[in-house]
Amino acid sequence: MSETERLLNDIRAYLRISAAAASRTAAKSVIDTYEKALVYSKLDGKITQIKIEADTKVPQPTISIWLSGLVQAGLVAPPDQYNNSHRALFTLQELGIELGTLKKRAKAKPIAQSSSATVQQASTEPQQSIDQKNSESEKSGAKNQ
Amino acid sequence: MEQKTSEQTEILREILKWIKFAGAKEVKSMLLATLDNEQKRLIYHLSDGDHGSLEIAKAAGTSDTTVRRHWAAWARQGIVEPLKVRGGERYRKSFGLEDFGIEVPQPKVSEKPTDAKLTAETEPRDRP
Repeated sequence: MSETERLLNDIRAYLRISAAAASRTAAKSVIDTYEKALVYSKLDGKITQIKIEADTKVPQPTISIWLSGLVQAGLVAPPDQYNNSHRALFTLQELGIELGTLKKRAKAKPIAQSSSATVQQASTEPQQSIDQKNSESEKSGAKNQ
Repeated sequence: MEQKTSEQTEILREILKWIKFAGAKEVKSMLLATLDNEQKRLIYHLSDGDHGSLEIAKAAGTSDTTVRRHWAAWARQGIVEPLKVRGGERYRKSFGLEDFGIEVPQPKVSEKPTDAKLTAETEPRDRP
């Protein structure tokens, strides 16, 4: 290892730890469910949203919304010339997040049979509504990943 | 050309010095929280890229599996870096414990020190 490489390695090591420490508070409020953490752990810069959906059972439109939030929080780098897909800037461990301690997000209930039940479900299951609403608009974006 | 490289290296040294100054508190805090017993501190200290997991396990009085398990966890925390070697992968510490005033425990093996570095390794890594 050359002197330059050694110096750059040291610089990276210090910066990563400092940045992870500075991001911890934000990370804990953004990555607040088991599924979100699971999705975050898979962001290697190569994986597609469709593959993440298959691996985690989280709908792709939801993944797309989560990724936007994670990029805004500075926890994920968007696709660029080096990575075709989103890339987590830290590991969960660096952010002090333990998968086992996170609660699972509420699962969407099956579509109710009566109209009154459907209305009630729509008001109590916002995540499912968002998933459905964004489903078509996000699909085209996912194909480009 | 050589002079330019030398200047760039000097600039990198300067950058590293200030980054160390700014990040020392966070790094020390991370090391203390992660290396919470003597055995972990010793395994970490001996993880210099020259010693394999078997050697380190022997010196720390534990198993090769434990050393590798710690390495994997520490890599996820960013305090060691992977190093490809013939026949596998080792991990090298990213920080010297001495640089943060963290005491380095003595290796447990003493009856037959096959590697002088294991018993006498107290000098800090090449750091300013």
